[in-house]
Amino acid sequence: MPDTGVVSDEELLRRMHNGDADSLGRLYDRWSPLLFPLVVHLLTDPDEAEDVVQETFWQAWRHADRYDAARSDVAGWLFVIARSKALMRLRARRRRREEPLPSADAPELVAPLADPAVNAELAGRRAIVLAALAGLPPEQRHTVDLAYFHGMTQQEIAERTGQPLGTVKGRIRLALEKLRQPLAALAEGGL
Amino acid sequence: MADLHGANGEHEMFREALGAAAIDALSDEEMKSVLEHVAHCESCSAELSALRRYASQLSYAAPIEPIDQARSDRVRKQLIARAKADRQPLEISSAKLTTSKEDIVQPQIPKRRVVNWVTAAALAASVVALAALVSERRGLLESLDRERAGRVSEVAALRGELSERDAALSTITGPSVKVIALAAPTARPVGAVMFWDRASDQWTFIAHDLPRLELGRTYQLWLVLGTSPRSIAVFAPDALGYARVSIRMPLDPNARPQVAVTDEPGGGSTLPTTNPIMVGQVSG
Ligand SMILES: [Zn+2]
Repeated sequence: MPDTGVVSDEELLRRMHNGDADSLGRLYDRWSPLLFPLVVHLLTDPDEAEDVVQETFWQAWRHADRYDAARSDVAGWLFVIARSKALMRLRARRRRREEPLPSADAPELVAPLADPAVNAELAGRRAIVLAALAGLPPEQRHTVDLAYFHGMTQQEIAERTGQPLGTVKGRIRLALEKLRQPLAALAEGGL
Repeated sequence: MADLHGANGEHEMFREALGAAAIDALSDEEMKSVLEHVAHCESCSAELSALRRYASQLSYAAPIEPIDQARSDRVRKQLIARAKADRQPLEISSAKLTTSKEDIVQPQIPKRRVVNWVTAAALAASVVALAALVSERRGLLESLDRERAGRVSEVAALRGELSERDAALSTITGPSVKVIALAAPTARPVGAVMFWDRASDQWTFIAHDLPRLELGRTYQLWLVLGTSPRSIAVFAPDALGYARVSIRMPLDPNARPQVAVTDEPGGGSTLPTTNPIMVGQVSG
């Protein structure tokens, strides 16, 4: 089903709220290409990732009316839902000691060229975020990578990297301060 | 004013943790205390919202990995089917539930039927009980939402265990798949979908928002051919009412089975003993 891109995400949510299952399909087509890798990367298990992605869109379907434009754009909302679902699973696994933490030398964030399947707007946003991350000192970037894309807590990062907890906390704080301007502009809808 | 100083020190301490909170890099306990502070500190509340809003943009930088297209298509298909079932709960008419004589292919049912359950009247009778369960369910969900906000680990653990089981289950896709929407005999409180892959004999059942049953009771899934119910599985939803059952079971691809869910004593029954909570039938 081709997505002409004419209908906004917000409009799709409105239609979903009114019971239009096809709009759910369109929202899925638009954002699952990004959600799948995000969740697979966190969970490293494609079967579990599949469940999380399905539950994420299901929650969007059931609770489309809970989307609050003042808090985030629709994609950001989906990211938050997917990430929190994935983290719940990941941390439950780790609590049971079944899941080794990713190694400290987890691959750095790289900037592969956008997948041709990913649309232009997405590629544009992606480029901005990658550029913002690239502007961070390597140790801050690495810390954000471990926290955000590998679901590690500050404490876990400290243990794994051998850095004092205070240092890890400081890096996260500084990194988020530096990311604030470019990412906030993006979040406000600027491209 | 020691109090003021103490409160301010606390404020500063939590303020510094907000960035980590925004990207979920705090432990459950830390998160809980941060959220407690944020709940009564306007300034921190605004700051955390702002941080979360822009931090969510980081997801755009998720490493792009090739997606398994078949997997993605399968999820899409299941979502659409679930959504359609969700919004059309009253499609199950009494006519559909009454089996015609020609359909009776398997007469090996005991003469003494505990409940004549495949009737519209039986369905109507279950509406009241279901409505009660649903309101109870709502309370449970609300309390779970609150717990969730505090990132209480119980739900996470349940989810984790569920996913472990799920990971072992295969799912289905392809042109040979029949989709059977199950509906409750009342306005959309619960819903479920059965996917029947006639090529691989694979059956996958997904339900959501199932009410929690009383202690010692279990959900049981049935396939009804003619008037003969065959037990497929007993199952329990997780704390959020989500359940998935997957089994392999050969069946004549031309059969038009009904699928039903009942509430049974723990361990299940050989024949249904209660009115179905949900029913659905292969269409076309
Ligand atoms: Zn404060």
